[in-house]
Amino acid sequence: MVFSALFFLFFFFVLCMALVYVHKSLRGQNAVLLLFSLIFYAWSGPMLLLLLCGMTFLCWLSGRILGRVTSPAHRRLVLAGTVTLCVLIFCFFKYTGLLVSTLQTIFRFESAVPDIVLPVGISFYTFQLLSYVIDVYRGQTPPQKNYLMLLLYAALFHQCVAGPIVRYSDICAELQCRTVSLSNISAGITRFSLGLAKKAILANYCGTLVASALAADKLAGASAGTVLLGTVFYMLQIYLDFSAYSDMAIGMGLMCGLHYCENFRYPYCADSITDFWRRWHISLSTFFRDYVYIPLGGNRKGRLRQVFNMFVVWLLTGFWHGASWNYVLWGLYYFVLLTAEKLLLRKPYAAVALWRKILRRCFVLVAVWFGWMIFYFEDLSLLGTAVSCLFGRNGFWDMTSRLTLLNNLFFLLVAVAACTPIVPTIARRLHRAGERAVLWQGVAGTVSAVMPVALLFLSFLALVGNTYNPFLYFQF
Amino acid sequence: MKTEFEKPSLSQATPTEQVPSRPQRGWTMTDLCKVLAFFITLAAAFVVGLLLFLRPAVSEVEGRELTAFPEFTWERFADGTYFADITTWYADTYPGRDRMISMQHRLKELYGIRQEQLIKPPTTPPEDEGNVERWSDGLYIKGGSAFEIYIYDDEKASRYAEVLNLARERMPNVTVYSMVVPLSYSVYMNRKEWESIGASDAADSIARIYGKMGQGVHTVSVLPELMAHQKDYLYFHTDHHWTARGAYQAYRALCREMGIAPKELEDWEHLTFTGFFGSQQSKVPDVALKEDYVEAWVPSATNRMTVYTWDGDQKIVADDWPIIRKETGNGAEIGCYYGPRWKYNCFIAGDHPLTVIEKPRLQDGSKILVVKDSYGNAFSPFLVDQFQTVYVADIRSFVGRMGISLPEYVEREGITQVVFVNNINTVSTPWLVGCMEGLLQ
Repeated sequence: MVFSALFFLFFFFVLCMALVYVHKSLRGQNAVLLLFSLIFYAWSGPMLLLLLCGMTFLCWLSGRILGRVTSPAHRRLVLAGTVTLCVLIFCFFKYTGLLVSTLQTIFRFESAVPDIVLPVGISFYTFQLLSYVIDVYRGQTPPQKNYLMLLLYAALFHQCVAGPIVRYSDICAELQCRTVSLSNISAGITRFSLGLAKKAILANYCGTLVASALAADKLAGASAGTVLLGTVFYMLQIYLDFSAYSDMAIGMGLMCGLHYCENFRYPYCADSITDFWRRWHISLSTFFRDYVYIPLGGNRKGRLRQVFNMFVVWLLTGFWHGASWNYVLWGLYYFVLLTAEKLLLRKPYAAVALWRKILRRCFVLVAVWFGWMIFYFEDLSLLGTAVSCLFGRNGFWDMTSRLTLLNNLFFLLVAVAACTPIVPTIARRLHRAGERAVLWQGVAGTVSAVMPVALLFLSFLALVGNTYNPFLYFQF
Repeated sequence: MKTEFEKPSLSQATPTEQVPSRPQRGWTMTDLCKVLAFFITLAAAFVVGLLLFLRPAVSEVEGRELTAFPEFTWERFADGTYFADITTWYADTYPGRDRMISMQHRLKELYGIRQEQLIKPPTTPPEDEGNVERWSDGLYIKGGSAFEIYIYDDEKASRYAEVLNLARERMPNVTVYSMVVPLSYSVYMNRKEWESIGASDAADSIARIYGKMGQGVHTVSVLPELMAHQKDYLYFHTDHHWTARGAYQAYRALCREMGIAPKELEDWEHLTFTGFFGSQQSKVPDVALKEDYVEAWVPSATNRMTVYTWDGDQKIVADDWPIIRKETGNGAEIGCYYGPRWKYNCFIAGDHPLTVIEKPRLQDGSKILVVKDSYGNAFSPFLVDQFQTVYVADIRSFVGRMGISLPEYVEREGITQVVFVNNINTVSTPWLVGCMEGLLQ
């Protein structure tokens, strides 16, 4: 089930929220959230629920042991054992197919590649559980005594399948004690409906344009303009889609009195690659920073060690995104860019001239755009074809590119605007300007109250006849 | 930090015991209105979703049957497909879906400047093409009309020509005519336009196809007749077929080839059925195409025919139906619903394995067989007044359903003339050409 499915919106979510609000006690609310989270997860395959419950049990048990054991050696052993087991389970489900097919290619042996179903959201909940165990080991959070509470944290349907990767330490207090206020529900509704609209109206349609422009069988004959437009639409799609899920998760959390971390901060407005990764999938970047980069020594052990640490982080980042070599290449591409930025581009970046700032932002956009090309084409030969098309192998501009642009011109402008803070900034300025005018307050209040319903209706229109409702994160 | 560690499990804690919570602003009237509006809307959508009797079974806009509620099996339950199917069923049959889709299409018109659109097929046709009724190389949309694109393929052209040569060989005592019908772009667009969308020159392509046919096959050039009347309504805007006016020009071309005088349109009763949105509209439901109307001319000699069709028990049954069905709407008579998508079925009741039209008063023994794809449906009624018997065989279902090869049938019935009427994309669809080959075995 995905958040943008009508069944989720008009049945599952409504029922869940009604039962949450019916229960006045926190225990009852948590019980409803847990029940619905387990149903939500089981919807993708009831057997996969056993894995989630099993891994949570392992981490819960480990947390309990860590809470009692005081010997550092024993604590390290428990931590190492739990992390190894979790990572092995995660790797088995995610990378066995890639490993076998790669070995087949190298050693040329005949064997069927095992068809292992990738449990949905495994990359997210494994990392969440790892963060819990490590935080307990570090003494940053108390061990959870109640298994069901930890299961609620790992399985919570708001963020279980598409993030953000919520740290246990960030949410444990609210899981156990929170109030649901009308202002929070109101803020959650706004956030949720914006996310839903981003996904249903913008991201899904971008996806259809990408599928049409970059179809594998037509790519060889595509003009540079068509490939450029297809990849730009993909760049828009992946941000709008991914950030939409985070928006919806944050919105649903607010409606239940839970505050999740922000996962995106307009990453396409970044002025450096480092800045981009401070704005893109923040929960993943900070996870790798706190649990891999800093424990490895970060930048405290010399330049060479720092480069090595970055290499490890970006290799893992690449692998995390999918079981295919293009994701690894994509991770290493960022390793090269970030290393170059840290070692070579400090001086140019320090310049304050406006044109240099603009140039830098353009460079970031182009670099990120090319990164998404690597990310999109799992078949690297197709990436080669796309690049050669961009150099004009089949001409630079043709009927297809002209019509793709003209037919979707206004949509493109709206989608680009949705990737920038332009609309919230204008709204804020208008609000400030008219703050004291009663009429303005009335208009702003009405717009604010009506907007979620209007977005819900427009999203419904976009979803009801749309068979193209992709879930991009199954490979995550 | 220490005090937090020592805190007991708070799952049973009351809100008054809570850990320091985030500062929260007070609520406003706007918050209240927003929350009420949002949840009332969702609750209404929830209730509507539960009204099973309002759920549609067929989508008129998309021209397809909607997903049925899935059957439960343990296997499908375990792998999650049962739940996935429920999700699909819920969305696919949500009450008022067609109306919402129409609204969505109108909204999409605002996405850009859409006077012209080019829609390429998503994938190349599979080799076996078992499920592909007909292949085209894309759609070009301009001025509210959808134009199918054809790209010449010499190998496919040769195979089609070989089939016609085989027909001539297998039916030596009949006159074989081949009529390859061009698509609308070659009539309504100029060279520069169709070259820009990558379409092939229809005149040149048809000439090449005809050039590969042997001397014994009489080729009928339809394109010049159509070009001479290009200001007329010869092709639909929303459908891949030609109109009866287009088919009439082809009838004139055939008469010229046969050496008989064609009748004039004024000689027949003229009917018009409005509100037609055909197959192309279904392919591009989010594009607003110009509404079509279907014109039909009723044969003077008879408007009855015998249709051999496939019944529910998978047996061929013969039924007496009208050639041009005058009524539209729920057609109880032929069990066929002429909704906005199906009005082209008013010609010989659509595609059936075999149709036989007997002209009771004429006893000159003239018998003609039309071997056709669906383009032949609008064409065949024009022959009725000039032949004692007109047979119409569908290339997709004649052999499989009638259980007899075409040469055997032609010999048994004493047919003297056979006309193959196919549009140029049928020529490029190996599965369909394979069907024609199968007719002759």
